[in-house]
Amino acid sequence: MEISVIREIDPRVHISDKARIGPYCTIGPDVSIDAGTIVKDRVTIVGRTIIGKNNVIEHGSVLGAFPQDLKYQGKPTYLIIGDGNYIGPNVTAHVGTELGGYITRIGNNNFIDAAAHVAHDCYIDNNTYLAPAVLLAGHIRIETGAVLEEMVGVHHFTTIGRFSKVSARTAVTRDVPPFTIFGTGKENPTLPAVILGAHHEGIEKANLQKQDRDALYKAVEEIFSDGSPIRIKIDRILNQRGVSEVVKTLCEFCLKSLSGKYGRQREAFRGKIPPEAREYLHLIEKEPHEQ
Amino acid sequence: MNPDGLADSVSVGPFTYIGEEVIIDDNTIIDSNVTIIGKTRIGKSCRFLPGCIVGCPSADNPDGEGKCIIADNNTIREHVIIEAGSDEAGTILGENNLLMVGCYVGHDAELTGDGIFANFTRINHHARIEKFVRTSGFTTIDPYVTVGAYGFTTGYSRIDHDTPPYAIVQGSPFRIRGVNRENLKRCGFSRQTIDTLKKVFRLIFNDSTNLPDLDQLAEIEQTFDDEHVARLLTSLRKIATSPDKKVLLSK
Repeated sequence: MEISVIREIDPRVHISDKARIGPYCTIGPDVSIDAGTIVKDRVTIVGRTIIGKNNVIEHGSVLGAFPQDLKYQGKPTYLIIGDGNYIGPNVTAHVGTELGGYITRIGNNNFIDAAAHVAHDCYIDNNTYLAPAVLLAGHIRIETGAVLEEMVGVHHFTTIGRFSKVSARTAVTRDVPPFTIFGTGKENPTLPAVILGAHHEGIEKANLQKQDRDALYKAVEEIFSDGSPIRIKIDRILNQRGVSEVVKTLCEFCLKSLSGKYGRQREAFRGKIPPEAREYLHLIEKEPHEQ
Repeated sequence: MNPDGLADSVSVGPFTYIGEEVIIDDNTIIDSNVTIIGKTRIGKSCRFLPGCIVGCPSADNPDGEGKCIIADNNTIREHVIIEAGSDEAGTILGENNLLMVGCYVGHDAELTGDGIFANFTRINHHARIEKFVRTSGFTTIDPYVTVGAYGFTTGYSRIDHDTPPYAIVQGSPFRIRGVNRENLKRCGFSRQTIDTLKKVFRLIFNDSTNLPDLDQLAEIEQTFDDEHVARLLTSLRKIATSPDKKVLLSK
């Protein structure tokens, strides 16, 4: 039974009959919400925001507001949210910018906890966990299964690898390789964060075969345990016979990050449209462009 | 809502509550679910995004009778909290500030203007922010602290003492890292000025004690004839003669 009808929804909004919208919600003209999505009270959804099926959007969230980037010129840009996400109370997510590829994307089955912030041109893959007050700056890629603990702040153009973990209150200023834990260690609480080792839970969750798993543990141990040059160690691993696919992806990720500016592989996409945005080019092309 | 206090061209979104004593000037846009209360005055062309609260009573002043003055061209993003002042002057925001998502401005704080405050910056009560300051995410500025003009604070830093102008500060408690070259360049400083400032910073902050000697400052003032250097030295003298100069001792 619907009790409250106090809400402000633009007539042009496309909302599925099976979606539920709570009281005091403001939903702007260019929004589309698919079946099974529950929007609780005091939520504001504006901008060109496309929300998929079976999401839960908690109280007070603001989705699709214009980005905080001063270079944004006000052209139509998108926020795309997939299926089965939990978006906690007071979460903010912004639409993309022209220079960053027009798209901010949140994939499927992500858990975005209270007061987290997803800035412009971020690409969040599937099954990630963003703890309360996680702060993502612009142009970030978070790969499948990554875990960001409380109050993690991530620098622009950073990539957080698959099934990795960033421990609480860490400032992430360079790429986090897949299957590792990134944080400030006990010995050096004030220094820049480092890779602390393999992320066991993540590796278990990744559904790998036993031999791949063992190879991965060994590779992470070998690459990150001491301070000797990583490139040499990676070369040695890649030259071995029968390197498993997952170790290869880890090594390639590290090499890409090492060759990127400031240890961030996505710095190469500064001012360019990133490959992830190509999937959504049809949306941008549909827009009437100014002559 | 008090329509007398609102100029004609003000646009107000749904479910927004505006108190009786609030005065808002032309072309200000207020989105949905915003709360503006107390004796708040808002200038022209400001933008308030959903969920922000302006002029709310503070812990020092639970009745919420204080003032809050917001000048022109400010952008207040989602879930920002700005408390009303308890003193005569009130909380003051100068022109052209951008307060990003989740910022907090305590009562009687003064934001002089042209500042950009990244997400979750906490400006505690009675703090004073000079012009063209940039803060990064999760910066905490302690009560009664002045942040120098053109300064930059890195992420998670705690500003527990006054900072000199033109400086990049980092850490908790903070250390001075160098000249904020990028910001100075963007603000139209000449290359020569930036190089001079860099030399002065090297002289002052690179020795082992890191404590500016007043004699040394006088010497530097004679060597470098530059208004910006003079400004930096004035600020440093103030900090050095203050009872607590821990800030410049840390290395």
